Amino acid sequence: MNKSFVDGNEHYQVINNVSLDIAEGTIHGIIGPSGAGKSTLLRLMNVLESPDSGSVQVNGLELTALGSRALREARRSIGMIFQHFQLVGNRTAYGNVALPLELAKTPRAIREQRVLEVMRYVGLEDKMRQYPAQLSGGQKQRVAIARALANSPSVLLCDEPTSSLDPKTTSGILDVLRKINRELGVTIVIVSHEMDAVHAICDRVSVMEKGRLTRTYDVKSSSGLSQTGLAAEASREAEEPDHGRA
Amino acid sequence: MDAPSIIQYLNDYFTYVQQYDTEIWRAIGETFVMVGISIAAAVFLGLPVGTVLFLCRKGQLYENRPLFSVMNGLVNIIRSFPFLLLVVIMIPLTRLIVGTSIGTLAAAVPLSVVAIASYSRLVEQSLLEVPKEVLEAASSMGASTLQIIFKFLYVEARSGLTLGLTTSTISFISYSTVMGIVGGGGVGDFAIRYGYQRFETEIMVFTIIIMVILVQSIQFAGSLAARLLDKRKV
Repeated sequence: MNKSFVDGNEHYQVINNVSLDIAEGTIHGIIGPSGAGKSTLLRLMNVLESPDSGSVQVNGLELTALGSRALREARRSIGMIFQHFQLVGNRTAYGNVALPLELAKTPRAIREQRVLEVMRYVGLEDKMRQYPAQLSGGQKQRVAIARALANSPSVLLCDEPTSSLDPKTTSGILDVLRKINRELGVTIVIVSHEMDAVHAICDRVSVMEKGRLTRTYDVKSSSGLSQTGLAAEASREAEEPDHGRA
Repeated sequence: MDAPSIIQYLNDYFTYVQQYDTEIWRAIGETFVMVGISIAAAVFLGLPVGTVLFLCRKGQLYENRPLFSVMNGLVNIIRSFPFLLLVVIMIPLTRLIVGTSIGTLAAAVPLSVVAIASYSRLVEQSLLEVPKEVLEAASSMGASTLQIIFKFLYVEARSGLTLGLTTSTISFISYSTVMGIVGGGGVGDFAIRYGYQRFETEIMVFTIIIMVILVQSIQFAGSLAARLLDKRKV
């Protein structure tokens, strides 16, 4: 798969010949320094960005070949969460979680039941009437996770899900993600520059650099050798923290 | 001046003004008709126009340079026209729409055109304040264009849209005061004809006070509504 952006006369090849298979039911991490193309790669997975060449397949469905209506339908089974949560500020937590169900025209009674269910799942059933501005960062991310889960997706895409959270909140969010993967069988893809977070929950990790996937390895079987290499990458990352998109 | 004489003065003043009771109420009614129609035009036509302007901008959801340029140019031209000239130039169109170029309804036509142009610009600006990321989240949830507009854009921009409409309403009132030129009537026309041209300063002052109260109340209500609608900050 290839993707490039044109900015004036500059031509950036953001994704360069990337091919990635993610097994159903696993948690897959994508790490790399800022500007490596991690977030773009994630956005190609639900075609928020469309590739210049190549294709995207999710659950046997070729997303890149779909028309706009079919693509919208397909996106309902792919949840997505973001570094800055991206909640609707003028809607309550309840209203935010109900949104994807409203978009799918789910009847009100079922909607209410489902919102309660997912809010309970992320442990926020007592915050339903609060607006995002009244919630902490961790709570906002939980609302975002509940929103992504509302339509019972089979895939959850996470763009730097813990990068704006403190370490304690981070581990809480990672627990929720792990639980979603184990209990609901949701395939999770996590883009992050936080090595520890990624290693804590991923089954497999891909390393990305300058638009290319340099290697993919299993976390459990990864040798001490590759760990050193990754540690070097991690420390480089620490010097220039990634606040925006990769 | 001691207290009883102030009361006596006010009493005389209101008795004096009261002889124009019917005319004043009619003038207020005409202003409400003209401004009411302009507000309706702003909401039902200016809002969509502003939304299209926003969506067609560079880097937005439906980037469309030709359409944007045409609409943007048109909005600017209407807004830069000296208002009285616009009223005169629009006479043929007004006649086509309401059958006559004279009267309150006829006056509402050019007012509405200006209302659409000026509110659409404010709508565009309010929508630009909605974080792009929220719209990205909307797309990731599989929202259609209409859903993005009604369930995300307007929801996040609602306080800005309300403030914009408040500002617009006040400028429509101001524009409506010159509509005497095509027999539109209204409070401004009343103030000029009775207060200014007939040298009845008391009447002029009275109508100005009415206008001030009207504008203050609208601004107060608009600001309050915008504040209550905004939940984005604690």
